[in-house]
Amino acid sequence: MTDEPAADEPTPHDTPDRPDPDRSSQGGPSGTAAPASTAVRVARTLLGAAGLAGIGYGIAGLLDEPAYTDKWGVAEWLVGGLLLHDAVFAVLVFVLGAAAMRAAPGRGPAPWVRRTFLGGLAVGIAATLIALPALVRPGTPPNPSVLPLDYGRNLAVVWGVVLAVTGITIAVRKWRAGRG
Amino acid sequence: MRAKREEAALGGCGRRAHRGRGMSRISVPRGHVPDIPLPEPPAALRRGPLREGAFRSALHDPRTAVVVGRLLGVSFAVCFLTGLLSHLMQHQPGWLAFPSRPVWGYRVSQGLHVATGIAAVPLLLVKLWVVYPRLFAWPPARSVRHALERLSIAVLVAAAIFELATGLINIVQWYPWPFAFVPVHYWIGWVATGALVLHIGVQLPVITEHWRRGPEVLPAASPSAAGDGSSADAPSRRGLLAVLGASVGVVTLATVGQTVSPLAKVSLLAPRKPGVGPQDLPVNRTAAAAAVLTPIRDPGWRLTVAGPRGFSLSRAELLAMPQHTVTLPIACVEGWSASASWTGVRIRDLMDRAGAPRDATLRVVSLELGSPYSVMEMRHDYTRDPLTLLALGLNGETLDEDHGYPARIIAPNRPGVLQTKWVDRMEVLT
Repeated sequence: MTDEPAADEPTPHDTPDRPDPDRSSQGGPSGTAAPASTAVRVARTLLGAAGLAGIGYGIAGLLDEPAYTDKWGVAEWLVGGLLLHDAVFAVLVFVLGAAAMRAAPGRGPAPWVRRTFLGGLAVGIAATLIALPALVRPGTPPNPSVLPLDYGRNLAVVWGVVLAVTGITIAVRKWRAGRG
Repeated sequence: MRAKREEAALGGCGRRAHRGRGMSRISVPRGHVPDIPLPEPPAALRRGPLREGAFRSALHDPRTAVVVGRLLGVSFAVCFLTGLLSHLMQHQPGWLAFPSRPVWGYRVSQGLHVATGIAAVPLLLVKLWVVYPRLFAWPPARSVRHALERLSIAVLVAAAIFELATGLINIVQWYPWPFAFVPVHYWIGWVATGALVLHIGVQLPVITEHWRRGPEVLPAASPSAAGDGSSADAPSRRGLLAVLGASVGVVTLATVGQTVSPLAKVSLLAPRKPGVGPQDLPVNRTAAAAAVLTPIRDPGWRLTVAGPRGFSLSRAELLAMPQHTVTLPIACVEGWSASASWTGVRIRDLMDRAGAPRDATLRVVSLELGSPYSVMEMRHDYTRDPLTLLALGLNGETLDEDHGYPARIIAPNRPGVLQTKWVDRMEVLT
């Protein structure tokens, strides 16, 4: 790990008179500048104790639950969700972002155009995740008032609106920049 | 080093990427507990997002984490409190009384529970995006202490994802898990909330330091600098928040019409639509699914009321009693709700006839067997309310079989699962 990272973009609050934040990533003391006040220390202790109590209450309640028979089922879903995000979703987002921002450097669309496009994708992906249970649910719904809509078509409509608004946003900013 | 950083702060733009250094400041201040360093894994494994300089955006910084984290924290607090309220209403402890007003109370609180959970999906994903440099930190665990810190975050993230995912899947009436949704969603809600409170405690110094906007060195995204590759064309926090706001807005508009009826037309992705269902009202469980078709079609059906002066009445005799029409919402735990016009006999009239004391609790038993909601109890706060009916009609027609024919309970400010359908008998508990 080199000691001297030159920044592409400045980091907020990274002013020279503050402690070097890099040290904490190398196992040194935290970058938190001022020593914590008594109020903060007390609040931290209380929050920490309350948080641990909440976790303990939840786990104890779960283990005591008469309806809870498959102990591994919950653990599988907990770990599965974590892995799905950390090892799949986050990696895909990273690859998508890196590809969009770093392809054809110096040529092609300006960074802000690429960023706006990625923002539009993010909105569309959020809508897709919300619609996913309705789209992938197997079998017919238990009665006609459950999932009464055509979710595939409707999701396409949402994507259409999101991409159109993204395109308009980019066009308007280009036009404004051209005038300015 | 000072000079370099100063140059960066002034807008210098060296082409080398920084390493999301800002985020490295969010860490537990080390006390005097000895820590054990861990060996670094082989460098060959350091690929993709784990590589140095993988994250270039200046928005992976503590201030952005605090700004997004606050919104996420509020959304989780709303989900926890409304969830707890719903739980207590369904498992009412003896010392706790709920009022029957406002009539829309549960409609709003449970609608908020589900809508806020849906809005929390983009909030959580963006919050996690902001701290990607810490997720993909290298080495993954510097020391035992660092490993424990990351484990506590893993508990928080796993519980948060679990709550949002199971909630989202449950509202489409899909149960692909090997456990009972209701108790597990409830208990993991405690774990998620506890882990969040712990996280806030651990990060409190960072949160207080970045609570207010500091001297802003992030340039606002400026289209006038478009394309010249200068640092003026940098990501802005405002831009990120615009994307986040748009995401929350889109997922909310796309679903909230299932409870805010005027928005039903734009809610293209909602699992329910008010007005769709028998007698223009959605149904949770049909008479066929509840296996009550035979008993409810029996012409000899009578309502039995057990009490000091118990009696039983046929449907015709119930219809001969004073009828009242009330407008009340049916509000499901799954987050949909719809208002409807109900006609029937006041519960308090039936209880008075049975000689029940004013403060008596009423037990209502359904013809449906084996459901956790087959038997329901209602305290005097509800039974004395003039709006609480044994409904015989809905929206001007005879109650549909799927809505509880021959008779059902409808009370103000109650979870839908407690609006017992296909009533068999009622018992005055004294």
